Amino acid sequence: MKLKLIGLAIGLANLTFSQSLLPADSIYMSGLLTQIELLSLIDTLEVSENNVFIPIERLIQRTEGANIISRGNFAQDPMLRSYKNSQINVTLNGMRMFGACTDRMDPITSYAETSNLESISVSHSGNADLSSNAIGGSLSMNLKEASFSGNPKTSGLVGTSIAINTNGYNLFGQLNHQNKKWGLFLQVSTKEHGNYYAGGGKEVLYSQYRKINTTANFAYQLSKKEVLKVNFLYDKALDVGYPALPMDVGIAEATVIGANYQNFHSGKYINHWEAMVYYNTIYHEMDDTKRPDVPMHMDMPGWSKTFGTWLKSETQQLGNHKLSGMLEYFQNFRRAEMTMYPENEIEMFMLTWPDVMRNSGGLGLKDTWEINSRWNLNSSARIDLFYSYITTDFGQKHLEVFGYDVEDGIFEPIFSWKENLSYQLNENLKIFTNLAYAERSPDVSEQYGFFLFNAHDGYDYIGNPEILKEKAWQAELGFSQSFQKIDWSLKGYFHHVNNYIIGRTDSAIDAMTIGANGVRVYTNLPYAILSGFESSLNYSINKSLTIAATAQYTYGTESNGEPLPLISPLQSRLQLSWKKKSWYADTEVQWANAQNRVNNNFGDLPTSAYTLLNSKIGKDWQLGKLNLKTELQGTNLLDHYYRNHLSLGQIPQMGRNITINAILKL
Amino acid sequence: MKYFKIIFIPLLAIALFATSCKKEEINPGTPVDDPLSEYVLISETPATTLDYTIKIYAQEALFVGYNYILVQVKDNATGEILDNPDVMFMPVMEMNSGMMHACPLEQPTYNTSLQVMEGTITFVMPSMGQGKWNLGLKLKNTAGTEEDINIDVDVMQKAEPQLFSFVSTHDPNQNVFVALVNPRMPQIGINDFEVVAYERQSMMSWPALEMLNIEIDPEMPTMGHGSPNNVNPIDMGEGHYLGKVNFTMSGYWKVNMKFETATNEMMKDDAFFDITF
Repeated sequence: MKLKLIGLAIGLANLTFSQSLLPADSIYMSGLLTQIELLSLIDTLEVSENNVFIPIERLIQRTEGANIISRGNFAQDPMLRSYKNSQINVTLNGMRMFGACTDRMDPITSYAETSNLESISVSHSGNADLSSNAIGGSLSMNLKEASFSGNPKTSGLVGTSIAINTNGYNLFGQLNHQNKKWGLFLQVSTKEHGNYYAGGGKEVLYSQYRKINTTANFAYQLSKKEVLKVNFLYDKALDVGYPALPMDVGIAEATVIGANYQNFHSGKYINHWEAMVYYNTIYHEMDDTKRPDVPMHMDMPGWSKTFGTWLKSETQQLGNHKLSGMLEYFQNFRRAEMTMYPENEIEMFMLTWPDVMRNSGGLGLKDTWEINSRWNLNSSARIDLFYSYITTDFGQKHLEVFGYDVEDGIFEPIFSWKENLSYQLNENLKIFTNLAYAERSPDVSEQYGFFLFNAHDGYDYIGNPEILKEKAWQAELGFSQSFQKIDWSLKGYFHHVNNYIIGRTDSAIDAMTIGANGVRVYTNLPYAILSGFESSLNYSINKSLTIAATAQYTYGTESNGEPLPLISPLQSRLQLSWKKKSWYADTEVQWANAQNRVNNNFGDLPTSAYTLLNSKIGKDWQLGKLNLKTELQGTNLLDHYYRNHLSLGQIPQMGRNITINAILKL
Repeated sequence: MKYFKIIFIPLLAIALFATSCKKEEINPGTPVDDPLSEYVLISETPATTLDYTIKIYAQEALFVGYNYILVQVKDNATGEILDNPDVMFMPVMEMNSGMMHACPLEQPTYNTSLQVMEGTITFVMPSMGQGKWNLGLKLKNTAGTEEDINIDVDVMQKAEPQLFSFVSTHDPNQNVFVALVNPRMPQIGINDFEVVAYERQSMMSWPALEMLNIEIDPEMPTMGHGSPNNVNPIDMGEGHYLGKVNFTMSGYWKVNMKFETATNEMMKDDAFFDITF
């Protein structure tokens, strides 16, 4: 039943909460993490020694329906079924975080490390989970956490990876101590990569990066059924190149702290509950000093600070029903500045995010109803009340330029609702359908952005405090069939998004950025349509050989018939995996069709089809008490020169890369 | 214990966010004893006949352009500051060449809250090097006794000119002087843009120029961009024209101006004020 792709294990897990909400015994003692069920709504991708050196973004890209937008070799921006930015919820261990860069150079995924994650959960569309208040799905990164053990034990893990293409390395060390009463997990990781070379050996300038990450988790058993956990994460990236953009990043720094209390006392109605309080702060600083021909040097720092708290609970099985709920509050403050330094003249200054505070309170409820042995109905709904305002008079003055009076702030209720009905036709065939209505509040840039340069279409973007929320109607139909050696699934979806937010050119306003094409103001399209499918197939030929294949496609169109920008073409993967004793290997063919359905108006250009070949071979060595895993991995082995449709700025992707990986368990 | 925790933890959470979302209160600032403390004292001069002490204040050191002038008159006999004393401005410049000329002004009116006579003088030249400005005042007490006093003042040229003059292309006999009134403290966002226009009819006669059509077009020359939603200044009477100017960022701005007569004949199409902040 388990889909097992070597290199990564994609589990389709049926998790309502993060796994930390499962009964304590099962997590802490047996390490059992997920209950595997095909065609459930959440894909959970577990991090293991097999994929620990793959960047988070590349792992996300391998889940069904996901893609990434690249601006270089670092901090790619996740996309779920062609929803992006604030259309999707991204959380780290249940904590909301929001990037501090106005140009999307720091999606939240860039502040974690694969090696400090336990798993990544991806779910699509509106009302994807209890915490979902967007229309395009949820992406939760679950940090590795400390656990408990009857026999005190301490273990360690050291891993390193050397990449030939970028002349770089990844290195991490983990320490794990567990005893009956408390547990501690510590990790330090660092990586440094130079410019990468595209197929054929062309160097892609300004694609280097450096990063360190420290994670600590302390778990304390307050009583037999109560656990307190404290998380700490510090991440700092330095000297990060963004070849697709006119600027790089000097510093991107995040500090995250969170405390989580879990209570497994079962009552007559309540099965368990947990609460969390967290705070995170991000500082981001762009850097143009390394680029030649900069018309004028500028500093562009940004800040994002988020405080949040939530309470989640799940009931006992009440007849055929099980209820779960979440009550949440968070606030996020963002400010971004731009200072320009002309020669022989006074510096110029403005705010690009003018001191924006957003508050949100939300309540999510879900009912899981086993109607009978064949029929299941999950109903869920969530309401969020958003209140956004500019905290300073100075910030408010910025919006006056366009005639907006923003003194009062913007209040917006956001509602989402979903019905998920599934039917087990027979032992082999399961059918499901989803119907959802979801809304999304416009984000800080869309409401209050002040001359944000978008390198993809070359326009300065301006926020619109009067913009309306997006409202999506989403339908999905799918089935899965399982046989002894083969299982496969197919899902199709159709989404009608009213008030889709996009930029509209306003020729009355001069661009601020030197060389920009003009100014665009965020505005609502009457509607946009996103539809597509995902399919996967798994064939276990024998004990040691497995074939897995996936395919996905999205079709996006604006209400006027124009294609939506940044939509991936049809893509598929075919993977052959082999495993015998301590040896394992896999070979993968990755294919993307040409994309000629593009929107030139938004900087889209047609992309050619490409086929890539990736391969890996590895062996586990048992050296006395030590366990050593070594791997030799090659990606784009044919050194094909290609561009992914979602790589901005016409930047080619990486050519042939060989990595040598080693992990030592102590 | 169990119920305690069920209630306590969410309460703690609520308390935490309640404290964190308190808006910061704005410090109202320290109270000001002397209402004129934020003005600059330009001169303190006795009026010997009337036995007054005259204090002249301005918002800043006097400059070529539109200056607010505040006059406080104290009766030395009573020690009281006089309410609504009779004061008139009579500024004259004595140039090095020996020529004399006056300049545009607005005669003072009484400002109750500051207990001063408040008017404006638009100096058209700097004193330094070119001559001497005499800020002449004509005072009259309630008994009808008059006294003229002469106060020598320094008038400087600001690095960023606050006044320009031109000869109308429509009427070569018309000399126009335009001074910037607002913005005095330019900010990012929308600002009042106010100018005052005068005509030099003779060395001593500088009447306000009304009924002009003025257009403005702000730009940042370094960046090559302007700003949207500006409002052309319109005639407010007595030579004043009020509009709106938008600054999208701080830095060096050039507000280009075009002047036309009431009947749309071009007077000047390439005037400007530099505004840097």
